[in-house]
Amino acid sequence: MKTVRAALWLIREVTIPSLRAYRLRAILTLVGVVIGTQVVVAVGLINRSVLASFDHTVETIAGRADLQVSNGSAGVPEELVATLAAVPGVASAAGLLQGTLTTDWGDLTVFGVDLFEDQTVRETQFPRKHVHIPDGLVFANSPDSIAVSSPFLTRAGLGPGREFKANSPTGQVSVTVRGTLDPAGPAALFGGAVGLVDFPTAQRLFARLGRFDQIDLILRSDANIAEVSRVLAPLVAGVGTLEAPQNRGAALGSMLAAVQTVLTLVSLNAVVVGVFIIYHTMHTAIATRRRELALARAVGYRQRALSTALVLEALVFGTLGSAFGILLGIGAARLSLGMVTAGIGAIWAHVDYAGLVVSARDILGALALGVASTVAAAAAPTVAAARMRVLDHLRSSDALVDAPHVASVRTLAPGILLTLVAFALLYSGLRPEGFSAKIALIMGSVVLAALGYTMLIPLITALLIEPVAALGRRFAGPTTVLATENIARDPTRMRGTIAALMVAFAMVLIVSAFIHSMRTSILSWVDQTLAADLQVSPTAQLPLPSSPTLSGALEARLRAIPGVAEISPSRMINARIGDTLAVLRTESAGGFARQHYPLVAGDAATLQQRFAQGDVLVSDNFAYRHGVRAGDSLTLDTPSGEATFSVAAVVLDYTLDIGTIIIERETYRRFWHDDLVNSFRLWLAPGADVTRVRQAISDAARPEFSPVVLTAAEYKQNIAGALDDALLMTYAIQLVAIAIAVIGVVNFFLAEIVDRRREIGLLRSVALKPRQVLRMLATEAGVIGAIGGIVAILYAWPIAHALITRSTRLVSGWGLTFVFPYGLALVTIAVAAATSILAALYPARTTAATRVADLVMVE
Amino acid sequence: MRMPVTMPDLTLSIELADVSKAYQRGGSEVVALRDVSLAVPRGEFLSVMGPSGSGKSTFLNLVAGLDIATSGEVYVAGRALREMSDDALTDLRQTQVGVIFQFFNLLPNITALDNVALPLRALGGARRTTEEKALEALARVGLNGRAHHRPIQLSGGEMQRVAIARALVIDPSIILADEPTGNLDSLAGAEILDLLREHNRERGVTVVLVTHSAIAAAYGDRVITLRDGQIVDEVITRPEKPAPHLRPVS
Repeated sequence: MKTVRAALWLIREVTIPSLRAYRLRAILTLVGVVIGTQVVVAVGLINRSVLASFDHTVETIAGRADLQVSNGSAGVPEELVATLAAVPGVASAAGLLQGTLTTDWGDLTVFGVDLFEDQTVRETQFPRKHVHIPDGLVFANSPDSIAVSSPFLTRAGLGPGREFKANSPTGQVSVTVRGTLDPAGPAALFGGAVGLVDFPTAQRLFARLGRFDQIDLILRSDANIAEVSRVLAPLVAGVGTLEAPQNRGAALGSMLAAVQTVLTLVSLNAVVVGVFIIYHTMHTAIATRRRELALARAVGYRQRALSTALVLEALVFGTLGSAFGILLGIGAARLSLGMVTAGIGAIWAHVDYAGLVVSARDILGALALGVASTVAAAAAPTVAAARMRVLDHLRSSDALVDAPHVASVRTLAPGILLTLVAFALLYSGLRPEGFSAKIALIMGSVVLAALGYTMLIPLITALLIEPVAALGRRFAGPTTVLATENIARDPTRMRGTIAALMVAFAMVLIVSAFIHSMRTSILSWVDQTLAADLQVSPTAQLPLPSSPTLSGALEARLRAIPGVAEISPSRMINARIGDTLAVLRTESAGGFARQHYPLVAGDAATLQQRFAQGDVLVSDNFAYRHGVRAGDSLTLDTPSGEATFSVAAVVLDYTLDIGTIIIERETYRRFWHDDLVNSFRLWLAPGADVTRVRQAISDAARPEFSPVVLTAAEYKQNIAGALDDALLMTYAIQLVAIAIAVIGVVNFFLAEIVDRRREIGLLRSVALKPRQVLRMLATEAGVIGAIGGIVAILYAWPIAHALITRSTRLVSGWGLTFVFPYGLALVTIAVAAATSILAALYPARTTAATRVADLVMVE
Repeated sequence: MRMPVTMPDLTLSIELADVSKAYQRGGSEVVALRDVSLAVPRGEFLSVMGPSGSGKSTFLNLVAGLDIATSGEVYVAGRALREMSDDALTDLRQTQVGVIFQFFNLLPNITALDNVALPLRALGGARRTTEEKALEALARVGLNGRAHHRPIQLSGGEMQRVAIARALVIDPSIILADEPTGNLDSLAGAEILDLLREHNRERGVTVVLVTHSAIAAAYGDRVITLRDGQIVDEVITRPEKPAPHLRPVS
């Protein structure tokens, strides 16, 4: 009690007056916490909301179904509906097809259901009261009938009886509005751009004859779900997966592991930067008060009272900063969620933007994290302040103090130890189970290394500054000498600032190295394996499982074009592998022979022959994720039943991080009965004119199709653009990190200048003009910034190497080629120096302009 | 000849036995005090003189428990400082030792009253009690009308009086003053020294005054001179007030 009361007095008489006197610094400390919390909250909410969007989409479409049968994007046989409906305990079974029509008013998601049979399931998805079809008979008998949601009709200016044109996988089609849908249930998804057709129409529109995407089952009220599932399991074995709808949402969500990993890693990196900044701002906030605190200790305040006061201060900063950070984080998440969902829809799967999901748990969790980070970051400076040698900070006439040590075993050993432990963990090859455990291992190691480096910063600073100071003494003017000698005098002082600069700029370099490595690996793979002369696809969108399709019938027309030497129709679907999905991609035997797949394992001599005979290839990351090796067998559920394929080889492939199985086109058609194609890759005969062939392709596709034809260079540019779009958010978070670092530098100089007012006053009184003081402080800031930049490179290179060569594989299975942006690294030193100078200008100018008498005034 | 002291003498306020203090500076060692032995009886007014760098402030800091001797032992009020924890040393300054600094060391953003009340509040004192005592201490140094002024609104002499009031507010048995008149004009300096002497005489408070000034030093009952970390001279200025346990100084 006595300690708390003494601490409260300290807050009243030291902390609050100091915060009032240096408001800008107090605000910057708060801003550091706000930004740190904001990034974590925003990324956390986006992650959660995207997953919720998946669940929302799947569950809304499923209605009140108890069970669902599906098989990735391969679909399930139509006849299965009747088989499953006959199982005791099943009250109702209904198939559903889903596809996209491209219209002049945007994409229209179309559901195909059996409108006129068993309505038990349908009534929970598209209830009669929300489906307005005036004449059911006409609707059923006209194969172009469609019911469209009212918001879409309003937007398009369409009404009942109106006909409109749209592009489907089978080419251009004409449909007639013969009904309307209220925006409820699935009709409210995708911004209300939803249509409903009878299932034969859907099968025709989307070239899915005899297939449904899913079969929804409602069980009798007295049925036991486990028992019915046991009966159903053998009936669906080999052709699909039986599960609760929410499990399917989770499986779809598992595709997002990579994007979640990137967002989580980058946001956690921002947290690390935030924690460093909070550490640094608390450190400087305490440092500027050390004389007052030392005085308090001198007149009888115990260490415990001091620590309690500082922890209480951190709690207040943490709570206020986190509260503001949470509000801003929610705002930032709200602004960017639509963009992220659209990006995910383009690459992984079409999901409905379900809005931001914010729960009390999220808010409390973020608050706890923000407060705990602030208190944890304040712990070290608090302990240091409580244990400080009082004499070092009291203004005394001629008292001597010991000079700081920067290179003793005691100060260096923990730093070296932490760094070694961190890299040992990163390179250990440990494979913990689960996403969270992997992230914890990676981030824990990165944070340990950052702490280790921070402990070594005084030594690195001393080593770097000595030659600079020597050069300064020899060649530079007095302001440079004063600036460098001030750094050399006590390199431990600016440890926090340099650490903040290190973490912020290292993050930029690490993310940049990651992007460079990813781009290099993917584009070199594209060059080697996908480098056909022309690429024909329905839209400019990258050919991925979620992208639109063309009819396989187009192949014959393309082959007939003079100058076309070889065609590989590429179909991509999501294939179910256990609880997760993988990409199943086709390649023609002829196309395969023209490409060079980088071989990781397998016999190159027999590869082509085995592929043509029906053996499959798996990507390196698929092999890593599922423990598959060349020569193993792989069993897949196909519309023709369970089929086993021999794995001919493991190859490098970067289609998606969920892993890829590459199968010969005819083998695929035989088992999957699917003639659709996501893209055709064409090789031209020697001497063929690309422009002419390109035109001929467009002509041959008309009138049903209007495909996009890209050259190899355009296709590669498209992929590079898509990569940049996917990684756009990481750039934004990098900017946040730099903003936090700038706050750190401003804070440091505000504190530093308060601390050195007398010294600067003396310099002003004996020699220096205001301009020279400004130059001295700017030089000091520039040198500190440059040292921060150099330390950032020393930290970034090994961390980036470990993350790219080891951790990326741990999370996605991908092995990337390590590329470090050396040019950017050099620029980083200059940018860090310039950033520091800019950040120091305001405090430096203010001090330089202060009257000498005010600077040297004792109290 | 040096007399080794092995046991503390409880009649002494302060006792130094073979005390040395060295600092590490740029790889070399700077010795601030070298084998100093000294006894300060209760109620004595001791003046410590010497040029800059002679070790005066180091001596004072060791006695205040703000620094630790490299070798030898410092006893204050009969207790060996080396054996005391940081909390115990803090308690000593809270209750028995008042320190006055040359540069006042007042908190700039709070009033004179709050500055004086600071040590009492370290003890967890209630607002009313601490303010009453602080006002009383300010009255003792003649500053009752300036209680609610901030340091910046006070003259140098007034600031030093606030610092003295802060040292007196705990009713210390020892006052350690480091050049308390160093930044003051002669009139203000004399007033401060009068205040210290008054407390020494009327309340029996032991005063150790570190000073450059011979005039200030003359307020002491005894004057010792330090040079290069050693006591090189000792003059008893008030033989009528002999120190009961004065020991020879080498």
